[in-house]
Amino acid sequence: MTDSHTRETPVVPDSLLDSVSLISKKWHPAIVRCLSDTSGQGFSDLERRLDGVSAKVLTDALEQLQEYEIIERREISQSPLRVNYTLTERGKELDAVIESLADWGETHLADPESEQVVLVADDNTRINTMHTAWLEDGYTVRTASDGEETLRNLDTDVGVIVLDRRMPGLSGEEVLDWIRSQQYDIRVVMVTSEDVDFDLLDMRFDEYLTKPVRQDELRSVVADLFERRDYSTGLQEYLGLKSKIGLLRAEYSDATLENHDLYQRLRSRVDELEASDETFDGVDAETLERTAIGSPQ
Amino acid sequence: MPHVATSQQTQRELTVLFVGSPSVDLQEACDSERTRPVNIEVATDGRAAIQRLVAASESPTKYSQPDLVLLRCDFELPDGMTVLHAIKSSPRLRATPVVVLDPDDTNIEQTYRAGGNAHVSTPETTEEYVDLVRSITRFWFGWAQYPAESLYSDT
Repeated sequence: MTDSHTRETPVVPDSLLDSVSLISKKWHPAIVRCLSDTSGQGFSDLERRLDGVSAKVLTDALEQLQEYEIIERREISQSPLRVNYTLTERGKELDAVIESLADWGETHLADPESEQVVLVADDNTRINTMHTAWLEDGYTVRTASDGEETLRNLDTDVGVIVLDRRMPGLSGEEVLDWIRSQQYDIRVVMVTSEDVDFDLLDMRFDEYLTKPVRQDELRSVVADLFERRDYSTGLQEYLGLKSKIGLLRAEYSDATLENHDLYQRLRSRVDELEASDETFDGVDAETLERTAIGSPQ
Repeated sequence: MPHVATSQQTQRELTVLFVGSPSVDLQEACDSERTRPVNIEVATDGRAAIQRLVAASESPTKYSQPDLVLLRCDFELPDGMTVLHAIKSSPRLRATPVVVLDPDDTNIEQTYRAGGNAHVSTPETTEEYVDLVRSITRFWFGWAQYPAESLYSDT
């Protein structure tokens, strides 16, 4: 009995400490990953792929990995000296461990700041509860039942607001003005039961939904707005304007719109953004295609 | 003893936004005692304060951004603590000092937790107001080092 106790494996065996110490070095796991799935790499290949490593440090790390028989060094030619590094069998086993560590980190250690916070603001409790429930599985949802509570729940963690246009006290429009004037990086979808009107022209929302809002509609708009947070300010403005113009075009005749000054100014702003290279700089083709929907004219 | 530093004098008029209802004529009280030009503006409630701060951001030529906010918590919707939170979470205003005057003294801890820069007892008479504004502006505009660039022209 006592014998088996003394022979029991310690909670942290030396073998574990050794492995951890080996892969906790900055360049060791990187070198193993570089050699993974290749027929071998030369010294200069590794130096280039491991951006920032010095020749001295790389030499030391390679020597150490050879000592552990994780990699193998073969001289291809003597003059000029050319060498090729490959993974050994035990190197390949270690590569698999490192790969699963990376997967684990991606799943569990993902940047906590990437938590996506949505603030749902509506004075109608039933609608508030419903909208919150629709979003809760994908986001951290905060709920506010009037303009004051919306202000109290507002901070730089919030990424998207689902904002009722008319709320008692401080209205949705006032909250929107505050958000924009204070340079919050927040995308806003305005939700309203009212008809589309020209007052919309002054409001700097990103999207606009008319009540009753459908579940798929709300979820897709919120997902889209989180994506827009990564776009340039020019593209964000462009998309916000396009959404506004789309709403008005669906409501009013072309003749009415042609005679409206502010509408015309927005149109020329859209043209200006469209003509600027910066607006679509670095935007991938898929996004461009999606944003081209409902193109004016 | 440190005096209001001459090296820090600036041509720009400093703006103090008073939120709430002061019981005396503040601008007059300040004019009588000021050590440097300070412009006092009053927003009588939280909503007016929010609107005034929006206006300062949207039309900076017409409305100056306050260099200091004196927040007297005697109004509702949005109440003083909401206005304090709004200022302190705003990417644009968070460095602006906010001094809270709270007639009921019920929000002391909350003030500091929300990032308020000071909680002071509320003055009542003109004399007390003059004294308070003199001390606070002398402290913030003369003695204190503060990251808000707008406070000093030479830092």
